[in-house]
Amino acid sequence: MAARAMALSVDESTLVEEFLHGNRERAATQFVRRYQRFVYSIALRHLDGDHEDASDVARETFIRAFRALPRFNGDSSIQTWLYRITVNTCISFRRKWKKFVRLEEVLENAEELASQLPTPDRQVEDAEFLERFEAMLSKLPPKQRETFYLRYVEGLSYEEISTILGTSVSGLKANYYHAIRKLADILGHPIPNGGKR
Amino acid sequence: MKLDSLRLLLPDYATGRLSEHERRLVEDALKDSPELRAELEQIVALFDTFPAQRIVEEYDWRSRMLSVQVIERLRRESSQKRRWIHWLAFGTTCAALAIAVVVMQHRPLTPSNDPQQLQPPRLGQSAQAMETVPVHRNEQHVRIATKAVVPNRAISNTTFPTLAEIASIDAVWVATFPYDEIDHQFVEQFAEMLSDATVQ
Repeated sequence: MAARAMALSVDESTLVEEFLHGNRERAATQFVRRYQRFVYSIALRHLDGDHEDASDVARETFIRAFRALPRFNGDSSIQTWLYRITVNTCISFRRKWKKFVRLEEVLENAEELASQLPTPDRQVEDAEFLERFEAMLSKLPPKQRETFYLRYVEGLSYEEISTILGTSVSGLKANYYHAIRKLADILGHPIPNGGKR
Repeated sequence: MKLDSLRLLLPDYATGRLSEHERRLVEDALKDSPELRAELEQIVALFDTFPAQRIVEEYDWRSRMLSVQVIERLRRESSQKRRWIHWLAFGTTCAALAIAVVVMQHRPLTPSNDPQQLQPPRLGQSAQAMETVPVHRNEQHVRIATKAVVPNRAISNTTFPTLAEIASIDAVWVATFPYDEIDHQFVEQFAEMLSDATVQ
């Protein structure tokens, strides 16, 4: 526990301990709810914006994470750890999973999902907003895209992003700034600057 | 601080994520630099077009079913694992029974050297009398416990155990199988390993 707690917050440690030694299902539910957006959005960016694939990968990522949780020693934060699992799962998915679409699983979940779909108006609005955002992001180089998302949307510190992406903090600040410049260009509102593009 | 370094701070200034010291540096520079102010305006316009909070909400909305799906899958895997363990225990029991039967059938029975005891029991002799049959067996439970009359057949000194004997042995073996002493955690891990290997 002491070793595991090194890079974890109190909340994260409690969650991990509860999963390993307490109410496994409750801890698993809290764990997924806490990190589902993070994992899903990473998968989405690594799978060219395919929402169904991103859902599949996110689900598999959590299953893999739960299997590996007893061996998680806490030398990085859970987000860093999950990021690596998600990226690896995306790579596996691209290689193999496409061949094995689990039809029965899709059918099982279809009815449940149908009952919880948003209203048509909201669907259209969501789709437009997210599609525009994702289309815009997809035009950035991978490092800048990840840095922008993790900093701007997830609000992670540069130190955390540095651990995840393996880039120096100063490099990340530059990446973030240049990502914003490019996004402004894409939107048709270029940022005036003293020459650097 | 150089203007280029200050530029890198502008996005975090716009989202309020600078330290007090850095914030003051940026504000001082903004007063003197119309270029920086113009940059900041464009950055703020970009952030207003795609507010982080809205993006978070949309992704939350899209991924909201994950917890249900993951828990459902965990439950399914858990029940599959339990089924695996039951099958493994059943298979082990069957294998052990089969081995026991084979061993009993092929175990050499030591005949007695006493010629008196080489006499086969008379037809209709009770099972109690079978204890005088020249066959040494160490295990208590191997003996037939029944008082039933021995069938009308001659028992030679090289006879293998009868079906009734084997049935009796098996029943005792099953009844005394130390199920509670099984290392269930080991069996569970073994089943999980097999399951993973099968999936891969």
